[in-house]
Amino acid sequence: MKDRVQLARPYILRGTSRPHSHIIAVGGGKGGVGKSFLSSSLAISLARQGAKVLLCDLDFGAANVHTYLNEPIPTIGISDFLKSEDKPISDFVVGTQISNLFLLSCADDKFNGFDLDPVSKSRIMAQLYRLNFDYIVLDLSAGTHESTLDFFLLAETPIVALTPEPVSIENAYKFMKAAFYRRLKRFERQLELKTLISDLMENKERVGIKSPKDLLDAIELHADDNGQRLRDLMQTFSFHFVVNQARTHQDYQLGLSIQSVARRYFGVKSEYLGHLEYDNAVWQCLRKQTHVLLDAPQSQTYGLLFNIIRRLTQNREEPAKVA
Amino acid sequence: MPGQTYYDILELSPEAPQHEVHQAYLRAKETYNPDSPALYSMFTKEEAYELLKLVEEAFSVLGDINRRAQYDQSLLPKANGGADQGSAASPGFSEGQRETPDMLRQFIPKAKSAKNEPLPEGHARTKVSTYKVNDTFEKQIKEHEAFTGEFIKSIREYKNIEIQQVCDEIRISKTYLNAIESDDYGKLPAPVFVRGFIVQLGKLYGVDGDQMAKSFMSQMKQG
Repeated sequence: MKDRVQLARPYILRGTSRPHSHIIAVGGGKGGVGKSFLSSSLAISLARQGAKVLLCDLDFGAANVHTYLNEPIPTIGISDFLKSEDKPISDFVVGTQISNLFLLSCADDKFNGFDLDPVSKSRIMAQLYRLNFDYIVLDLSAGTHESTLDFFLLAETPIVALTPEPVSIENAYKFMKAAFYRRLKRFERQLELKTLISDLMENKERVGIKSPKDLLDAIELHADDNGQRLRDLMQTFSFHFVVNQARTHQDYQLGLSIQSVARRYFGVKSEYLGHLEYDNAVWQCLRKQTHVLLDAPQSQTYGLLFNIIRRLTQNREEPAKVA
Repeated sequence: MPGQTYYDILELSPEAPQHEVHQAYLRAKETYNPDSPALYSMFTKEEAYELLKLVEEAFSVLGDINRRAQYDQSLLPKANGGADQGSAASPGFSEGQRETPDMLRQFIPKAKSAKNEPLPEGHARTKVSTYKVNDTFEKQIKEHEAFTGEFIKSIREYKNIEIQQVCDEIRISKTYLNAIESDDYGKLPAPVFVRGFIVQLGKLYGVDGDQMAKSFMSQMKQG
């Protein structure tokens, strides 16, 4: 029972350690939906509200968050951390022109796409857990690569960014499915459900499994206690959404629909954080290499971001800070 | 959709004011209409149609203040013994929430609920049937150790439950049920499913499903 209480936390425990900061990850499958824009905006907004924020660019091979912040390419970053033997990752964090906002980048030509090996990945994760910020915002790459999924699952608030186009919705769902099964996989051995799950998946037509939720139901039916535990563990995770570049009321509504579909399909919590509208000011600022939050505080986007931030900070049960 | 209340279906809290019920209904209709972009690659049109039917059904009850009040009553944990005497007569109710689909069923418009009718003398109920209590056989069930398919079949017949009712209730195919009842192990799926089925059968018949499954599984292993 004690275990259960401890596990019913929204973030993932690595061994027995908890993250020292509230980790937010922005992912979402498709490129160009505004992941970097959203993560930089969240980071700036939070920093402006007085929180100490680290923006962490994990878009290996295509890192450009610094450009959104109008910062020069950082001279040190994650690749230097990985090369160093014993230095903490905090040595590779750089300051920005915005007070309270710090940047950890992988904008380094030496980094080549996705060849982040498991040991490096795990080193980065362990170090991120130990950093003392109020918020760490992870900007993830497109696609469903394993390390992207793992960083996504690391977050207390994993956000799926999407735009209202069918291709983007499709990729967002694909990404969520991949993340869901990746998390499931983590527990199946631990709870001795591996055989059962592969049995069920092989016979899914016959047992009537059409969605991850059906799978969880079936597991619970066939493996009473551990099935229930698995559901509890999966339930500590929840998808968050932001619809970007909304142009109509239907686009805004789409977020609510996706929230509902995701709940029903995955059988886990899901929450629509809000939307950002298609805004010329954003486009103009990007051209000028400034950020809309810094350059156009009167813009629509500014207000909408504020709503998202409010949702994001309000729904937390208690701060994750460990004394 | 086992274990769901109408509130779950419309994603509402049971305390939601009436105008929110309507909003939730409109939103759900928007979400599960066949052209909804949010369904793509998640639910097929057929599945969405089934979900829409549930949504309509839920709204037909929750959208009406009187029916909603009545439904709310049915969600309360059953305190009165009443007609549901004895554990065998109401196998599921100790499970609380999980038995809600039954409660749902009695609210489906026009469906007549058997549960409200008085029981004849010396009869008891399962979830789906009424049967005449036979003390000798009840005792035999309690003391029985080797649950063969044949014996499981005789329990079903004693409880006056049709094969079709079992299939509807626990979503097992007729072939498998027949195979269980005739101890035809060759026709059965992987053991893990059989175990699940038997446990469910036990619940439906109001007997110890785990004991029954254990016994049946060990015979299946030998056979």
